[in-house]
Amino acid sequence: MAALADLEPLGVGLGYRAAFRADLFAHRELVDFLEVTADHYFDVAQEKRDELDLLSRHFTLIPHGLELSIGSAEGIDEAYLEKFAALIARLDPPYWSEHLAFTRAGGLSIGHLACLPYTSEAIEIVLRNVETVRKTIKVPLILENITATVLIPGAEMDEPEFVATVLKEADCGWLCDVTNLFTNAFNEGRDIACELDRWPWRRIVQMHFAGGRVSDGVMIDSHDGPTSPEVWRLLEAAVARSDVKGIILERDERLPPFQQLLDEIGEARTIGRRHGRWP
Amino acid sequence: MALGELQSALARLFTDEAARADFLCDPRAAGRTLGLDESDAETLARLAPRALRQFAGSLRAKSVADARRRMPLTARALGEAFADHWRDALALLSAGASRADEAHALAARLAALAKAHRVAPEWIGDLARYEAAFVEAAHRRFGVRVLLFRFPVGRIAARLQDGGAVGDCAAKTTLGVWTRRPGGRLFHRVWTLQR
Repeated sequence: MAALADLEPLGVGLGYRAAFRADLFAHRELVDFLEVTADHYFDVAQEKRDELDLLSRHFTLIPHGLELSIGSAEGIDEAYLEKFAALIARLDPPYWSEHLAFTRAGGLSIGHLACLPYTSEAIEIVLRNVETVRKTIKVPLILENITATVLIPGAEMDEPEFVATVLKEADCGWLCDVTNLFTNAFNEGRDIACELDRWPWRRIVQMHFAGGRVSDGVMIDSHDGPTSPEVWRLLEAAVARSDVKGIILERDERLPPFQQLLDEIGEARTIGRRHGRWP
Repeated sequence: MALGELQSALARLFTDEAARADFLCDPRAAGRTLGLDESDAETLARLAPRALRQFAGSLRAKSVADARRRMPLTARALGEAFADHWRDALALLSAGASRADEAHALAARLAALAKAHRVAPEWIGDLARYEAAFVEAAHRRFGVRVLLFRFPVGRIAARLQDGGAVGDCAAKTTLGVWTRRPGGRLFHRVWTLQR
């Protein structure tokens, strides 16, 4: 975490998706950096390697993992970790990120991020796995809070305490997904504005924001629409309380005209400027 | 709480429809069947059924959305039916199947159904085999794949790519080749052998 304190601000960027590529290069000066999904570049043919080389020549790239499964009690998949390490060695990023979740157990790959129980045992497992990861990858790891679609029974604490304890004990930076924060609070009937003092804002290195939607009364982090006013307000509150280095807009579905994404990036950049996070 | 056992049980509930149905019917008994002791089965039984159904549904939706991105022309040609074919194809695969395995499974299913005239259009099996070959090639560092098609898949794919409709199409034997030398870029070509 200390290694990231002096990191120069990255600004505001995009979660890279191949569908954006042409527009991205046509508006190169309006996107400060990119986050790339690490898993999309494991075991790939030359075309994807060339794509990564092209992106890395023009942008700072932050690798973002999906399936490290840092919360798996059965430990870290060494083969997966080696692939991640090779990608990081190739890109030489200032940090990399993963989700505070598990995606694998009992020989099954779940295919998505599953919530950990908010228990001291789960914290111990994460600490052990972070230690394993650090033996292979020296570049700082930051961890992202996820959408808790299924809360695991048996919790000994709530989400703010769980996230804060993990980050402190593991000495990890926080990839704060403000949309996920808002989504969980909405679905659990909590007022996020009343619990702002309980989140570890000073550990933020990077943020995610995105649009979601409500289906059958449940909010989903669908990454398929514009960012809601509530999430914008939370983003501003988080930027005001943290020393954030970079903010990433995520958009995966129902891709709008690229200008709409640029407008959201511009808005986030303005918020960062307003709080002195970058020039 | 034994977290390893609990996570294994959760992974089964999230991904296995039969295990999920058992759980929703009798949560405590299902927990024991999934290998949990009495205390952890009791804990698992408190899992919210609605949230479990929703998460399982989101996993299925995500799988279909990923598949649509990997095989966009097949998805376009099948429309809404793509999701059902995809799920049925995956049901026959074992855990840990690769993306190429999944694509080939869908292609094999559609080819068999097309041959039996149980899915339309008639060329859908060929189109799925054509796209599955690209999925496989995207993850191979080198190799050669040669496929023979009954329909002119190159033309069908180009037409769909341009947003056009294809409809019925006369059978014309077509040869497709995918090749990559070590570390090189993919070479691909199709030849329609019949005029």
